[in-house]
Amino acid sequence: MALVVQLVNRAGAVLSTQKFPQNKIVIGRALDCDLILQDPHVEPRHLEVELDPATQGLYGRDLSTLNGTWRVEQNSLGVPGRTKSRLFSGNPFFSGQLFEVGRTHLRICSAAHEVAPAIRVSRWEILGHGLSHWWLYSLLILVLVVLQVWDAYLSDPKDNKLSQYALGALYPILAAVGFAGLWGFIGKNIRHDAKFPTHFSAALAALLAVSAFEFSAPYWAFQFGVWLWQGTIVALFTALVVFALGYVTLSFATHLPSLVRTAVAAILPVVILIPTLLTLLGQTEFESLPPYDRAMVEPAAQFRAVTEVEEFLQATHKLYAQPLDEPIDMPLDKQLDSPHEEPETDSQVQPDPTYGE
Amino acid sequence: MPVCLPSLTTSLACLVRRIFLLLLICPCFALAQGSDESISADKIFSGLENSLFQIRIMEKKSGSQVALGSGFLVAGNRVASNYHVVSFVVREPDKYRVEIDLHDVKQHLSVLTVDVVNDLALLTFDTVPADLPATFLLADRVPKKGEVLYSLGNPHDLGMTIVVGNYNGLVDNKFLDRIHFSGAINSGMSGGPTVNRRSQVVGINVASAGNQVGFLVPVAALERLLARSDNLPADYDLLLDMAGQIGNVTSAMTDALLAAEWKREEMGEAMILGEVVSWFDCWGNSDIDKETGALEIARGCNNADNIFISSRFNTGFFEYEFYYRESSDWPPAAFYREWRASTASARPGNSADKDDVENYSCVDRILETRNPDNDKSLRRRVSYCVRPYKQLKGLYDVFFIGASLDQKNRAVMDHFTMAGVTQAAAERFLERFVEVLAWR
Repeated sequence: MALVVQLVNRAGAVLSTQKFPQNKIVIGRALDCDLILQDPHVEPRHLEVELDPATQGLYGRDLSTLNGTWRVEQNSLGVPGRTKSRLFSGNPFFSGQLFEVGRTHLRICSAAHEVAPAIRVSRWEILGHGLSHWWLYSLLILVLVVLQVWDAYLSDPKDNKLSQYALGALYPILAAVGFAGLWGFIGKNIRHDAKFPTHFSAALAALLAVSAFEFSAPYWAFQFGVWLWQGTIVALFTALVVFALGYVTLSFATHLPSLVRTAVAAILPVVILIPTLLTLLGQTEFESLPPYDRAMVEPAAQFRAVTEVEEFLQATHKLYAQPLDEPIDMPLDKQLDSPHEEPETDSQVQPDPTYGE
Repeated sequence: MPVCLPSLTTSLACLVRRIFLLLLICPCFALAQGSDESISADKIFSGLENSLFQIRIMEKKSGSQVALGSGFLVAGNRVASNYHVVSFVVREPDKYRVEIDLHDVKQHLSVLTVDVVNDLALLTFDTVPADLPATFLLADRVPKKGEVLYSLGNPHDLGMTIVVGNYNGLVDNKFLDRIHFSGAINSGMSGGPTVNRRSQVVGINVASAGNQVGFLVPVAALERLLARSDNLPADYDLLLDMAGQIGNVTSAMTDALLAAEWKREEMGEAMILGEVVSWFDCWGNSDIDKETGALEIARGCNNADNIFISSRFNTGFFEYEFYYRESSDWPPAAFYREWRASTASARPGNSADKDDVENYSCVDRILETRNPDNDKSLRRRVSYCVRPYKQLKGLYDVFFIGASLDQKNRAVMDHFTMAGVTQAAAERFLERFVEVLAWR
């Protein structure tokens, strides 16, 4: 039988694994130890571990050290916990026990220690890998910068400001870097895998999607005559993209179950949608501005059909509260001719049903 | 109790007229006066003082006053004033009431009828007092330009006041007649009478433009209102009547507009509608942006007349405007982005509140019209929006905006607002206006 020692970081990630054929090893800084550690808080000869080949029992012996040897609790994912107990001479322990010697964490197992079966390669892994290609995020950066510069140029078309626009376009890139850095840090700690390029590409893709959708908004709003809904549609799309980015990022960087991921990823989109929801809920309130179509695009991008003037005039008839054939104007016209006549009767409110015949 | 004032040098003709008027209108206490030039303001005032009232609008529950104005006793024991003085009571009769002091006794009045277009109101006593003073007489002739007039009222709650000024004819270029009175009319004098030397009412104080420029409603409007008020039907609905009055005047304005010749005028590369009628105030402006080189031209006309309904609601306002923009070296996408922004904030020229009007609903279309002179076509997005009035049934505010979108670097916008119009009037105007805009 043999002993296996894993060097583990404070997040529980295995840094190295060594297998020793003998049943007894000594761990310390001394060069004649079986496992030599570089930790200055570790004694030259710190810990002796022995495997009883008959019982497969493991025993640890602290070699009278200054800082001691500690058994550290760990959770199911192998992340060291806060509680620890001191190991004294000849204490037995189970295979897989985590120890703290000096500032170093070690996991000690017998070679017969059972390891978990292989897990299926998830779609997140495939997606994460796909997103991490250098050419992908380079392409995304390029397209995003071009779009931002073009957008800024269209708002104020001056050639001498192009470098200024290009600099301005770097802000979203920097934001994506910050985002990827933050989630890389979180992922590194939680899943022992930073996936910086993956987070970076995901953030860039989300930024590009929102920018492109916003950029195109006047065009589709004009073609389909949905100016009134343009703001709502853009807000919905933005919320959707933010949700997708949040969900994907949480999948890459955490172990949260999908329901919790959904809930956490939904927080920001809900915040984004609150003003839109309030507007939609409050739509019955009075609005003194006419909600006329404000969408317009350059002639080359127009595909909306032209209406005959007559058809337009016909359509405007429907805007009046009463149908055209009701005598709403009658009393007024009558009065115009003879202002001193008896004023109009209730026929305005309840028109004579026979009038239109 | 006022009695006829003794005139200093009463001519026989005046005496006859006085007797006739006394018999006709107020057998006992009429206020007819001699026409002597030397009659002074103090004599006129002392003769009319008792028939002149401060009108107080009281909030019923709190018993506190919310508005003040002036009013005067006219034939039929009615009190004449301005509509805008009593508008609170017309709009919310359950909440407000009208009060005056007669011989230091409070009297409650109700609004009998109004001429909202000319800003006049007739009030009746809830209980007619026994000792009513003499009524004011209405002038039977139009004053001469320069004639001395006396305006009466209670400015700023300071007490009844008489102000001397001159008649300066009717205000030029207005659809509705208003007398230009060169005298200090102040807030609180609204609804008070302006009389000639014979103490006959020639106008009713209605507005001031400051610096001794005051406006009066000609007494003819009050005469018509008095005549109408005798024949009110049993089921008289004041708000419906007001709607009718506004609809009549806006229809008449529309007719006058449509009857005029509509000449197209140049504005940049576009042809637009110039000044059509003299009672429209027209303005224009242009600018070349130094940085962008963009050319902007704006022109517009409006009737500068508003019919007051309440402090937050006015109507009877007509306007049309044109806006032209050209940025020859801009990419079309940039130009149309700017064009979108500059046509996005159009709003109607009149104000209204949620208690007065419904929300606008709009129809948006892409239209192509032709210039009959050169057959050039113009494609534009047009929007026509309508909001019905809530209480003044049968009236609408209409709003039109069109923005051209067929040229790469130049565009023109046309717009009109009509407030307080009937469907028929609005439709007639739209039908004509929509065909005006063209490319040169």
